[in-house]
Amino acid sequence: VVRRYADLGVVVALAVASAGALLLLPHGSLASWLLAILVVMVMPGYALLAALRPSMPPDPAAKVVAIVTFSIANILFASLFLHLTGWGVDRARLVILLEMTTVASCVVAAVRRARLGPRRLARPARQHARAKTWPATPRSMGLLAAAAAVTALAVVFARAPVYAEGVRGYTLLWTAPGATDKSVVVGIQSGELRPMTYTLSMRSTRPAGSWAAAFRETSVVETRISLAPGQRWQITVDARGLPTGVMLTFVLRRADRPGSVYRTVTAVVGATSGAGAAHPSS
Amino acid sequence: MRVGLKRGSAPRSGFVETNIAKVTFPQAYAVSCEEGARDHARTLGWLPEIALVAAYGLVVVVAADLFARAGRGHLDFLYWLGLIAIVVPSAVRLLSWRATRAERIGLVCLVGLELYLVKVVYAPFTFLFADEFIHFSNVQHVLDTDSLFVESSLLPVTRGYPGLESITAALGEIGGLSPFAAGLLVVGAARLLAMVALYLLFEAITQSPRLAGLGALLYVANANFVFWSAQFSYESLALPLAVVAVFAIVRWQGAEEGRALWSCLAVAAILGVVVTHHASSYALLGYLVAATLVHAFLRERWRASPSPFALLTFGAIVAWLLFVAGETRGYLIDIFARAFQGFADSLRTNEHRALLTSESGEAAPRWEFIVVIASVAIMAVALLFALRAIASRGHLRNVHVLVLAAGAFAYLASLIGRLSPPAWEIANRASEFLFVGIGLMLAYAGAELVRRFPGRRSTLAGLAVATAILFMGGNMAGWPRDLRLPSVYRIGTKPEAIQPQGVAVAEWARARLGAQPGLIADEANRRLLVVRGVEFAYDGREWGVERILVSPRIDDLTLALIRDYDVRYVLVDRRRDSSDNMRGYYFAPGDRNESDLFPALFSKKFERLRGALPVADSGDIVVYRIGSGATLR
Repeated sequence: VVRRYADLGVVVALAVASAGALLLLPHGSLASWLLAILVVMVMPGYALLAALRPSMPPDPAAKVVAIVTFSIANILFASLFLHLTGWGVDRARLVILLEMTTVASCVVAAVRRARLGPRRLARPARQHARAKTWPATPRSMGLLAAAAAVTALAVVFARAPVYAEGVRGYTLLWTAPGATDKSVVVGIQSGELRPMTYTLSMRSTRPAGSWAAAFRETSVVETRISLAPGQRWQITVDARGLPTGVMLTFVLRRADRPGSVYRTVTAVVGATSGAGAAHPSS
Repeated sequence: MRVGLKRGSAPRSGFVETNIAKVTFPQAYAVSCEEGARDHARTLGWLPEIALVAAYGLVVVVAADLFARAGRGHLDFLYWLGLIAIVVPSAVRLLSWRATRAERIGLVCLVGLELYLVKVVYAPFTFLFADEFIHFSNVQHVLDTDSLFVESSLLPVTRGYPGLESITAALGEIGGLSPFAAGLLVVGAARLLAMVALYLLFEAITQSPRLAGLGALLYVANANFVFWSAQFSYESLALPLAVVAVFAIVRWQGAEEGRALWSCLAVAAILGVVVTHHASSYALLGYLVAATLVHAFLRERWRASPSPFALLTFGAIVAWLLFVAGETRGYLIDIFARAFQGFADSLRTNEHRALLTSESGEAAPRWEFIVVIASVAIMAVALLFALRAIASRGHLRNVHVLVLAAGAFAYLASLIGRLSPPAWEIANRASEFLFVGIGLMLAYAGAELVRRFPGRRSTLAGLAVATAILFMGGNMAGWPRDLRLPSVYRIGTKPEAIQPQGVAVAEWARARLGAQPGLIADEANRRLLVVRGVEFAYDGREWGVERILVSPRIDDLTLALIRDYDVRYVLVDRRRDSSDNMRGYYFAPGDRNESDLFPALFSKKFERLRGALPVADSGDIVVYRIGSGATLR
């Protein structure tokens, strides 16, 4: 009796344990990944297969195909069900629904096995007794392990960041409104391939037609900044002294090419939805 | 390597003719052993050794990728060497009579998974293929909203097919996997499923483990197998499910007992296909209708007719189109109309698409032309051999063999479609479905050759070379040369690795402009923005948006379009690659020419708009804020 229901018992125990563990384990830990794979891709399929064919198909390859396919179909329809009922496809409901399917299918499988009787249940197992012999020698297992290790190493190496030659780096200069009406944030992000020193200058330009238009340009700030590749820098410009509508133009020059403008952006003082202003949208 | 071909060890000539409809699986399995597969020991045979060779093949591919990613050139020979090390040893072993069934299944899975890893190591940091951006953003929407049918601004039709997204999101929700990791896992599982199901399908049809192993392995020579079918896209899941459906139906037809299991498996797979991908469900329906017709024509047992499954597939497709995915009709009609129109135009004007030329205009080298032509020639000749083999094995009344043979001929016919640009897409996309037939026919032909010339090393060497040519030819036809190895995406600088300017601008836009800033952008930048949560109403493929982005000056029409679209931000990228949804995501080459860029005027024109100001500038990319009611200065 124990042998007849052992696999179903293991699946039910795993389902119950994994439901609890998934709620207790830190989200995103390796253990929760592995449990999620079991809960989504393996256990429901196994339980459904057992319910549909209590004696289980004798061919391991067909069994794998059936388990994965039933699991995929199960998660598809579980998600559809949660969506259509309006409950939402969230973590707790998904886990509960998948575990309920698994346990219910195991119960059906157990009932069907009990009805099947030991003789019929054992028949396929006898026919394919050879299939249960371990197919690999220690040497072949060692070689397979080596192949798996080499494959894993190849994937790890592929993820290693490498220094690239023959490409162009870049520097991103940006502006956005600050926390108050009269402040503006300016930022630099270096995507250059080597450390770089810049000079950032700001000039204000009064709107054409205003009383001070004659004094169009005034150099206000000039800052020297050094950034390593990947580094970011930002500053909030307090423009309380400037009237609304003044345009602030930020010009970035590279220290090694001071004569040419590298990047330019523009913001408008006091324009919460003006130039350089974000549109946190609806 | 010993391949188990000994003079005198050939099987009995001919094949034990069996009627699949009357044979249960254990019987079929016993029959298959008569062909010579010594399965008693159930050892793994040469699988461990070949797995190690394939693993080193992957290492060689990774080396080629790293050289390319470091900007040190495209070492094509390393790429091909690695792929051949993965595919050819398994093919040679599968030709042998001595390989056990377990070994054959292991080899087929090994090749399928190692070739999947070739795509994984191509882009190991994030999804970078055009369709992957669509499904990646869909998954993020599902995770954010806990809702399944999310609007997709990149490809609206994907809204109605949430199969891939629901599984990926479930793994993400339950286990906390990132959408990228979960996506890789789901497509990897689908790849494994495809390979095992293909083997089992061919085995159930032919009752020969050798034909099954060879057929499943030679399927990898289809043009899209290495990259396209391995991407995080709905077809990558739907196609394996379709193969499972057909396999389950074949087993249901032949089963005396346990039919409920196979019918339930078929139903689960069919419904899974229908809710996952439109084209795969239509291909499955086409196959089942053809099988039903041939079944009726051959006057086989009515009880074993696949018609109930064809009806179920048809009903499910119609119901899904009516109630869920209505927009698919317009989408597909548009694609097919363009294809037929383009094909007709090509015939009328006698202007053809340049073969083996990428969208960027780079033509493949001459030797690649030769390999591709040779691969097609091998297929054509192999089909004739296969027909002989089918006849000599008594499989001419096998419904599924006949339908797959028809599919193989349809594949060869579809190659004509590659001559016309609009029809190319359909011909290319049909290849992964039709190539199932080619795989089986090639297996028949290969097995027939080995049977006729047993024990000759020259036969084996010739077949190994033919396998390499088939595989390389397919890969060359399906994937442009400049895309086979990765471009520079992440550079390992200190203290931090850096990513391309499109990524930096997209991250800035999400942080500073919000989720719906009313921004228009070209094709590639738009994808980078959408996966970071910046939504759009329009993109560079839309005529009006394209006009705004690429017109050399702001004229009245451009101004009217800016107002009509209610544009508030414009992202302008001077790189011509930015309009290419496969090439527009990488670092720009250092030795680029002016011809690689749009004229400076292209970007500067927005400065002529009153109130338009540059708010972000990364060199090639500039984001302009456009004031409301834009007018010329």
